[in-house]
Amino acid sequence: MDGKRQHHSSFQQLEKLGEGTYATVSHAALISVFKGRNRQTGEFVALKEIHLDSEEGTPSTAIREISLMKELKHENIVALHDVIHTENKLMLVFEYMDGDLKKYMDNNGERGMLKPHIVKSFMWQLLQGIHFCHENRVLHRDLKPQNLLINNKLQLKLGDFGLARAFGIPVNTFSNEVVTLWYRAPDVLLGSRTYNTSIDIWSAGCIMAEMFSGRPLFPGTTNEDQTIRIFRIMGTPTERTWPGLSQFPEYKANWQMYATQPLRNILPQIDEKGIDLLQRMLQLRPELRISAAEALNHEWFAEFHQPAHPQQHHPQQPMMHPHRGYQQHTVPSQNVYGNYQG
Amino acid sequence: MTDCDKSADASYEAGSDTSAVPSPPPPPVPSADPNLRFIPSPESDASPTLAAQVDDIYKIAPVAALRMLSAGIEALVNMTGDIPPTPPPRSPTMPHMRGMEAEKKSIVRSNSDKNLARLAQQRSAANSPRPSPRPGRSPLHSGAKAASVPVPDGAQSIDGVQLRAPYPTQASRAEQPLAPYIVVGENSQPLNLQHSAITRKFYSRLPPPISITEYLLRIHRFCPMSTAVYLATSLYIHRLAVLERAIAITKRNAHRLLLAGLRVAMKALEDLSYAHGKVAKVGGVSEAELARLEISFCFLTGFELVVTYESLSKHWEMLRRGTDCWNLHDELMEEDMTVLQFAKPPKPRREHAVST
Repeated sequence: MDGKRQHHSSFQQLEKLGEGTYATVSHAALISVFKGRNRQTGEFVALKEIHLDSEEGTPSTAIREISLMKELKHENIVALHDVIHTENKLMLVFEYMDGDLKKYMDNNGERGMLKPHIVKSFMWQLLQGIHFCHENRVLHRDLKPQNLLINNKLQLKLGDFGLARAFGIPVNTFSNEVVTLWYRAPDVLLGSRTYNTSIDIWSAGCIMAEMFSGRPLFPGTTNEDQTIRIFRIMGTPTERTWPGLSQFPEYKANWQMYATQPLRNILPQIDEKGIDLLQRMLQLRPELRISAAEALNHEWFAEFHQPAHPQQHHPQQPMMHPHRGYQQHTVPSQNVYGNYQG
Repeated sequence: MTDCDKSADASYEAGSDTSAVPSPPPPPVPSADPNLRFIPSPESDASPTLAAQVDDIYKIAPVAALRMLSAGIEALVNMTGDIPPTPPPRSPTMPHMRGMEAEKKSIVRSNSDKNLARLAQQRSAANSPRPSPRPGRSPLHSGAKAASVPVPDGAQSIDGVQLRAPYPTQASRAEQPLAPYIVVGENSQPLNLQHSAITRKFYSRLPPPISITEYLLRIHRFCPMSTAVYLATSLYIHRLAVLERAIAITKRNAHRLLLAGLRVAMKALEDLSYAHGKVAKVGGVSEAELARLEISFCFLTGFELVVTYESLSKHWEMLRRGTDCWNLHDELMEEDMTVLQFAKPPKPRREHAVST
C-alpha cells in the first residue's frame, strides 16, 4: 500500500492500548490494540489484533474495516498501513494516534468542556472526514467520541470502520441496530432501514454539543428513553411537523408532547452561529438535516474558508439515499439553508 | 459555567441527578437486529422514474444476477481449459497485504477484452483432448429443468455435496522461535511463493462432481443472497482472472473461488450473513476449510471488496455484452440469456406508434 514496495515490514509490539470485542449474534471476536514500532523506520503504529476462529471465519467487521479503510485515504481518516495474517490472527497496522476524543475531553477539558476554538477545529476536521466518507458512498454508522482519534498535533481522524458500509447498492439487509445509542438519530430510533448519510450528521451534532458542555447531550438508557430525551429538547414531532412519521415501526400515538426548546438555553456556551449550525445538524427529520458539505460551508467555519477558493465544497450536493425508498416524497428544498458564502 | 450547567440540566432533566455521567453504552450490533432477514427486496419500492431507467441494477432479480455470475464463470472456465495448480510451496506462508499488492503489480496486466478474445481463440484453436466444455454430466445434473426454474425441485440435503477428500493437516507448520519481544510480520515469504500458496488453496485434484451452475443454484437454494452479492462476486473473480491475471479459473478451482467469493461479498456488503457452519455444509467443505478459503480470497483480492452502484452496473453491462462477444454457444448459457431477457425493459415502440 501507499506505493511502498517494502517486502519486509515487521513491528515490535509494545504496550497494550486497549481491548474490546466485535460482537455478533452468535459469538464475540476478541480485539486487542497495541502500540507498535516499525522495526525498519522506527515510526510508531497501532496494531489491532483480531482473532480468527474457524467457527465463524473472518469477522465481517474486520473485512469491512479493511476494505473500506483501504479506499478511504484522507487526512481526517485514520490510515491503514498494512494487514498481516498470522496463524490464527489478523493484525491491522494503523497510523499511531495518541488518544481518542473522549480521553482528550477527560484529560484536557475543564470538566470535560473544551475551549470553543478547539471545538471548532475538531468539528471542522470531523465534518471533513464525514464529507469524504459520504462522497465515497460510505456510511460510518458509529460516530462517537471514542471512535474519533486525536494526535498531539490536535489532528482529529475518524477511526473504527467496523460498522461502516457502502450504500446505494441492491443488498438485502440493512440493519436498524446501528450507531451507539446516545448518538443514534431519531429516524433510526423509530425503526428506519432506509436511513442515509444524515445519520452520521446527527451523531456529529451530538458530539459538537458534548465537546462544548462536557457531557453527552442525550444519554439515554433504552431505545424509548433515548427517543424521549431527544423529544424533550427538540420537541415531540407530529404527522404535521414530520409527514410520514406515523409510518415508522416504532411510532407511538401516545408520546408525551414536548415543546421545542431553544438550544441556546441548553447550551449557552455556544455562540449564535454555532447554535445555528447545531440546530441544522440536529433536525429530527433526516431530510432536513444539513449535509456534511453544507455544514463545512456554514458561516461558523468562516475562518477556515480560504478567500482564494470560496467554492471548495459543494453546498448544493444533495443527500444520498441508500435505497430508492419512501423518503423520495420528502425531498428537502435545496434553498432551505441559503448560501453561507457570506 | 456551573450555573449554566445547572440551569440547562434543570430545563430538561427535572428531578434527575446531574452529578455523574453514566458510562457510555455498548456499541451496536447490526446483525442482532431481529427483523433483519425480513426486509423486502429493494426493487419492490423503487420509484417509477427509476423503473424506466435502462439496466438499473436495482431492477435485477437476485436469480438473474446469479445466472449471469454462473454464465460468466462457466465462460471463463471454458476459455481456460484445465490447468493444474502451481507446485506446492516448500514452506508455510503468512499472507501479507503489502507483499501481495507488490506482487500483483508485478503480474503482467493487459487489456481484459483482448485477453478474453485471445483466450477464446486459443481455446477453439487448440484441439487438445481437454474435458468437455460443458461440465456437469454428473448424476446430479438436471439439465434444462435446473436452468429454467429459480431453484431445483429435487430433494437435496443441505450437506449433499463434498468438494474434496480430507484436507491435509497444517500440523507440520513449524513453530517460530520467539524473539525476546513480540515481532509481527517478520517471517515474510518471497512473493511468488506467497501468491501460489494462496491460489493453491482453491484447487481440487479432481473437478468437483457438480457443475458450476448446479453448485450455484444449490447455494442459492439454501442460502439465498442479494443481487449485489452475486454481482460483486462475479466482479471480484473477473478482476482476478481477467484484469489482474492473478489466477486462472478452471473446473478445479471455480467452485471454491465462488464459495469464498460469495462468503466474502456477503460479509463485506450485507449486515447479516449466514452461519459459518451452514455455509460450509451447503458449499461442501469443512468449517476450517471455509475459514481458510475466506481469508485467502480476501488476500488474493487485496481486500479490494468495495463496490458501488456504478461498478456493479458496469460489470453487469460487461457480462451482458461479454457472453456475446466471447462467442460461446453453450446451450445452457443460451437458456440463461433468455431468462435474462426479462431484465431488459420492454421496448416502447408500440406506444410511439399509437401516440403519433
